[in-house]
Amino acid sequence: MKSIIKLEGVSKIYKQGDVEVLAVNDVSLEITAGELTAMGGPSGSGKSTLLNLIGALDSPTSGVIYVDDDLTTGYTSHQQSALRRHKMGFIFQSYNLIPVLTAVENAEYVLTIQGVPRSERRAMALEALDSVGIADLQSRYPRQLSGGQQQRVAIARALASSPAIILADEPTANLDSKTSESFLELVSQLNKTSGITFLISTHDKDVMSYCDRLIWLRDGQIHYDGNEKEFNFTTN
Amino acid sequence: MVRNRLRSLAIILTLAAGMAFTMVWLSLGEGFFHKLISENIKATEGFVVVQSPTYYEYPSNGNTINISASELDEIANIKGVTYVKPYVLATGVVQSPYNTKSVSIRATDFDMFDQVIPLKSRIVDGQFIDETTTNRIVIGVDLAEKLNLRVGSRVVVGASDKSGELSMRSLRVYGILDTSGSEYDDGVVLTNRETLRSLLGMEPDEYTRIGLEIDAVENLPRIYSAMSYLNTDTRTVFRWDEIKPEIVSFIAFDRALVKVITYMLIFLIILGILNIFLLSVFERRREFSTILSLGSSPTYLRLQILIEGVLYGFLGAVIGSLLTFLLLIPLSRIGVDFAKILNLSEISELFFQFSDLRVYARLSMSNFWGTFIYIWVASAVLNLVGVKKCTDVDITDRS
Repeated sequence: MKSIIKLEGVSKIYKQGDVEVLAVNDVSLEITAGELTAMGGPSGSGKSTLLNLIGALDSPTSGVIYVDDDLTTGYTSHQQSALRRHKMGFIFQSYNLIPVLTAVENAEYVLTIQGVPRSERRAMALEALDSVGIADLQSRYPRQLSGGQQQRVAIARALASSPAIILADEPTANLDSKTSESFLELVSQLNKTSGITFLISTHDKDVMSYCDRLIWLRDGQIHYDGNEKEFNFTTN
Repeated sequence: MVRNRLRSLAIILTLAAGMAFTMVWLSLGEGFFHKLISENIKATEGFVVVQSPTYYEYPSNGNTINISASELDEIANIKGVTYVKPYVLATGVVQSPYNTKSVSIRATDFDMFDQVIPLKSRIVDGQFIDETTTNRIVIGVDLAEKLNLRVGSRVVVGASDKSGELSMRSLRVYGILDTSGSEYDDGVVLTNRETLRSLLGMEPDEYTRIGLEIDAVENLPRIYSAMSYLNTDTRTVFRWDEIKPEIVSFIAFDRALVKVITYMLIFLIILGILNIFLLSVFERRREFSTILSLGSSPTYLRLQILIEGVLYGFLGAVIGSLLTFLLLIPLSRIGVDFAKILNLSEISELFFQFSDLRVYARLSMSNFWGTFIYIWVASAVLNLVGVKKCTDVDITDRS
């Protein structure tokens, strides 16, 4: 299988006043296309930082990152924007929908900034909303939707532009268990049917159990990389 | 900006209110200057003056002009001329048994003059003079007090006549007026033209000055031009600003003062606009962070905010203009009575020659377009701070 994400010796050091914090410490990993991967670990283990580095939202202090065989380390902010725009989809914990746009307008937002013509992007956004089962809510504003519905709009937004990778940061943290399960089934189904690569940062064991692969981080390093069923949560 | 109507409306209405406020202020200021010019000119020489070309340099009693009755009629018939004030003026002295005082002696058509400046109503003792009351004078209360004069008292009025000889007449005090202003109350003696001409040895068609009142300042260039035929070697037609440079300077000073206050207002408005834009950007930081993390380029986002600022400024200026016109309709027709606002029962205590203190707003095109463009450009330029700030967000912070 083709490698879609590859990290070699990636570290990230933050400065907090005079103190340097090593958030990600010499991480190397490879994710192949079509994988459904969970990234777990205790708070402060570096999950979100690693997700930000992979998603070109931040730049590593050292090491190199390849996305779809392109070396993204050293990209300018404009190149990083273009990378996110064309190859990545994002799902955030707080959904981060644009409050003044309707569901369908939120879903087509990435297509808008990609420059897709209006008629095409509207059809693509509606298709994405349909695939997550909320096409009938297309005209509603985020404030008129439940948390689960907003998260589905966020998935539709991530899906609409058919990205190579979808990065999800704690996507179920604000959802109840029923909605969370429904979300996971949807992600699992999309992964199987569309072959989209998902990398999900999470604390939720249920999310990890839905994924093919678990990467467990501790103190900024990969502590475990394998099947969730073989991972012993009590000792880690 | 279309989607968040409440925020957009708040920004646009704030800009519009700022613009309307500035324009109304400027219009009232302009209206006040207009009133100041009108009332001052009305009270003194007139908007257009015919006199000896050298009178202002050499205001001697003999520096006069000749103008015939038919010429006066022609002037009075020029469209826009409301009053013709034919003056005979002199400097001289008034002597009583108690004291002597140098004064300005004035004679004109007082029936007409009273319609311009209400002097008759200021008589506190005796009567006002007219064309038939010869050898009588009207003086102010302060002069009467200094010379210890009452109505009926005889005084000697002396002046150099046309030939330079001292000429004296014994005249009787006919009335005493109180204008609350030092000019008329202390330094002026009013008499009729026949009496003063007799004192100065002048011919019947001889005057010191012909002053004109006109219906509107805007008509001044036309009237001035229409009177040019009266210019000869011995008499010249002047515009008020040529012979009253002190009023021009005074108004220029006042205009500068209004400009300074306007600039201060504008500075406050600028702070308000800047605050609005920064607040607007600040409350959208999460939205901007999401937009950037989804892959929007910073330039695209900045361009959106820039266009928003330009549109806000334009719409604010357009609505501000409409608001201004709505406010100016009553302000320019009914005016603002500052005597009521300032609770002044006696206007004359402040401005004797003002019939009232009602100011009518006047908006000049230069003030209108200046403020319009200023609000538009200032908001667009100030929005650049927002344009810069909108991308100063941490896109890894999605809290």
